[in-house]
Amino acid sequence: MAKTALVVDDSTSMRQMVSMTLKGAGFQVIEGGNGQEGLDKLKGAPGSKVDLIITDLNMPIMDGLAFIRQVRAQSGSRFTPILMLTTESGDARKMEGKAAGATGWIVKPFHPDQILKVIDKVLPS
Amino acid sequence: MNLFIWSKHLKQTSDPIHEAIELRQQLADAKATVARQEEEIAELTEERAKWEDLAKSVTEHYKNSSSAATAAMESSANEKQQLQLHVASVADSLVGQIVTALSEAESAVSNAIETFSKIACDAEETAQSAMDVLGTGTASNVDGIADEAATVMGRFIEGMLLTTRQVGMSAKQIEILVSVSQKMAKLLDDVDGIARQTTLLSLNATIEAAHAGSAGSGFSVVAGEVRKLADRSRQTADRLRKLTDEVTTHSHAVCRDLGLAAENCLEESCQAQVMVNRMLDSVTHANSERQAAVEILGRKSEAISKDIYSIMVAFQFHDLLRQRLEHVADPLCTLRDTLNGQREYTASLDYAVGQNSFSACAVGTTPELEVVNYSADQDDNFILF
Repeated sequence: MAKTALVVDDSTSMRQMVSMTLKGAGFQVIEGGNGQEGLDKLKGAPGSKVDLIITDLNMPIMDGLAFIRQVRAQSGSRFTPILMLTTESGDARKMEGKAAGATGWIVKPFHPDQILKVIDKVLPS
Repeated sequence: MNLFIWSKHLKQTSDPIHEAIELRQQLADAKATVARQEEEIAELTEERAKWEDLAKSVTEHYKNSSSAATAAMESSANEKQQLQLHVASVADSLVGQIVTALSEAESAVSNAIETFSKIACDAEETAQSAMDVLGTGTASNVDGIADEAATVMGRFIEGMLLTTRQVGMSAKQIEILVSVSQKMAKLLDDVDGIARQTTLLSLNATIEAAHAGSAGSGFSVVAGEVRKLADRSRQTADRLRKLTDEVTTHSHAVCRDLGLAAENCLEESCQAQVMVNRMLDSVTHANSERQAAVEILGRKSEAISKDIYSIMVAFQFHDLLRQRLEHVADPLCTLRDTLNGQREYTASLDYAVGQNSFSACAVGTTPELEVVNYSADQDDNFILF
């Protein structure tokens, strides 16, 4: 059975790129345009089961850090791997992400092979 | 006032004359002083008149200057409002253009990614199909078919050769039968000779029976029967000879036909083998070329996928550009909103001042008084002009 990934980014093109990469790797992908939409999609996911979350940091309505905190507060997604995909590369921001509950941090621009390698490391096979 | 004081003082003097002299002197001094003071008063009065003229002149000049300053400040305020309006308009236009550009770029990039995504999927499917063909697909089947055809053809040729050999062996057997028939024909000649000798013997017996007269009549009958048997033997030998001749003739015909059939079979088999080998070579060659083409196709498809991944990386700079432009647009929005706020606030103050000025004028207070009270330290937001 295909694994499900949730991609949250306010940029349509970025969501498309990440989704394309994940679909190519056999994932079923659902998308959200900001943190709040991501939470809604997470609750409405098929079987409420999401195996992987990839989120941007800077987004309107609800940013990536708030989104991760909300996700971690839900019992069903407490241990779901969450990767931050952002242009931010400062150590302070990374520490904020880690404190919020992010599993990994990927700086844009990303190469599809790179993101798939990271996914292989964080996602139990 | 001074004379009264001096008179009082004079009455109190014990030496009236001396005092009178002193008083006269003092009076003279007082008069002189009064005269000097009157002169000074006159000078001061004149000076005052000059200063009053100067004050009037200054006041007039100041009035004119304040009017000019008022007009200049009004003009400046208007220009400031116009400038605020213009800058706010420019900021609004820039924000609008940035937002439009971002939206259009996002749409264009999104469409491009969708197209490239489809190309990548097609390329991957093509590569996978190519790999399938190279793996367990048609290519290996073609090789198997060619091998199988070669095997079948080999067996067919072997069968034909075996048949040819068997035909040759059959021809030899038939030749042996012909030889046997020829030997049988010789034996029939012997039988024929025996029959002729038997006939001669029966004739001699008949002659000897005739010489014997009645005693030989029985022997004459036996001799007649022997002659009949000899005739029948000869006739039978003749029929057998004819049959052996037919067998020999047909055997020769069969041998000839078998030889021709074997030759034809061998020749056709050889030709068929050559043709089949040629066809198999063509199929194998075509299959090799197809495999090579499929491999090239697979490699190119993989290269396309990699190129598209590279393009995806390049497209992500659009996202960086978007964020940077948003960082430009945000301060512009703030600037626009601030300027619009200032303009509205200034307009509201202008309205209020207009109302107040009207009231002040109505009770006779000159507006110029406001100019005198103006301080350069006041906030620009509170400029009334």
